[in-house]
Amino acid sequence: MLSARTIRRWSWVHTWSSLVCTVFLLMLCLTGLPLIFHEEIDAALNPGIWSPTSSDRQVTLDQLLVQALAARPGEVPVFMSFDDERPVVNITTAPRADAPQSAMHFSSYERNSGASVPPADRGAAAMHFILQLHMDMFLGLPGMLLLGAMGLLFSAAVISGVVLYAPFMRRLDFGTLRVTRAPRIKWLDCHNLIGIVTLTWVLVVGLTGVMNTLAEPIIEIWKARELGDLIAPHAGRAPAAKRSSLDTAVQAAVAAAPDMRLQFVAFPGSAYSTSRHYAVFLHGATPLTAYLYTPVLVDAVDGKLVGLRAMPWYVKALALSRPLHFGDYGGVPLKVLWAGLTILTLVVLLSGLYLWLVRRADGRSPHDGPFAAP
Amino acid sequence: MSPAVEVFAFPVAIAALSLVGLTLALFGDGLYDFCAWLGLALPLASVLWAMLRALNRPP
Repeated sequence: MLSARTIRRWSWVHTWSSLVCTVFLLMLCLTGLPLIFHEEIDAALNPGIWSPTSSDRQVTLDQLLVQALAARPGEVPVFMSFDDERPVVNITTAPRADAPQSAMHFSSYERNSGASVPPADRGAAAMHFILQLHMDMFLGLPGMLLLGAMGLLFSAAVISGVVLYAPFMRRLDFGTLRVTRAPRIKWLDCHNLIGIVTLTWVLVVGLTGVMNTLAEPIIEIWKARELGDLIAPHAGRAPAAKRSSLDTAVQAAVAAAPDMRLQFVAFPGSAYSTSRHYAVFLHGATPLTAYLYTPVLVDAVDGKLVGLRAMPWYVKALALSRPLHFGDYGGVPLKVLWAGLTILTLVVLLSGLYLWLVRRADGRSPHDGPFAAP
Repeated sequence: MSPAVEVFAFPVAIAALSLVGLTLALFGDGLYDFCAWLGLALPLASVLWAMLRALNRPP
């Protein structure tokens, strides 16, 4: 077992890493709870808003694009994405292809008929506010990186908590809750039990959250290295002013990887492409590979295939960290478990804060008591 | 049993099974999802079990 001195050191790590990150973690848990169910909330607030029209028309992607741009004069296309569950195409436009997200406009159309799909926007503003708070606290990249640092501190708090679990539980059976003792003892037992059983989940959700805060730098590195490599032989070509057919480009991309599915198109000049190319993103057809994207570059002037390249490991890690953070990859029961585990995490955070406060009021160091009173 | 083994036997088992659950749902649907639910329900179930046990035990 650990020496008293080692325990004191780990206590110090546990106390201070927790204290710094607790207020952020409380916010992340509270905003995370509704975000787990954002699909269900959106669907409940916008019931029966769309049903497919039966139409024999077959519009092309180019026609859809013309239609979307006609509704937004002066704008350019940024992204076109394809829903998995329904035959719907979403088109994002903006004043410039590299405009910030806040300037982007999103509209949806039926793939076959081109009929407009009404936006499911009831409650969208509130959900967007919660998401923004959760992601970056309205501070952009610095906010994301700050939350990432808090996630790392939280992981340090969790790991030091596991080390301290051993001396605390030396004389107690697993799962002991001394509910008839003083509140401090009772909440200490709750803190220890819940903390240790949620260990794997909080570490996975915490560290994948940290990974998500690095999304912007990761995409920048990918663009500079991989995308740069892929287009190097074609460097120096002028930006695509007059563009070739989008349908031809998409067909060329799909033909280059026949076992993959179409996910989205990044238009020339947007964050995921170059000024000269359509970047057509495909994803795998199995549950695991569905999260992994492969970009295919197509020259936007002559419509010729430039090439495709599997994503490097760091983009794959980012792609897999999304479902593992959101909990949206195993049906509604998984989401309910995600919510239950979030609530347990809240109990750990609040009981930890309470234990620190009562210890301070006692004028003792936070971790010297329980060993004397098993 | 050594003290460390005794203290960490249940926590390690729960941690390992939760990890299996978290991973399984990534690899497939149906049965994979179901096993994932079981694995991740374990932390919640053990807290519930401990609470019921504490409340039913005479002081």
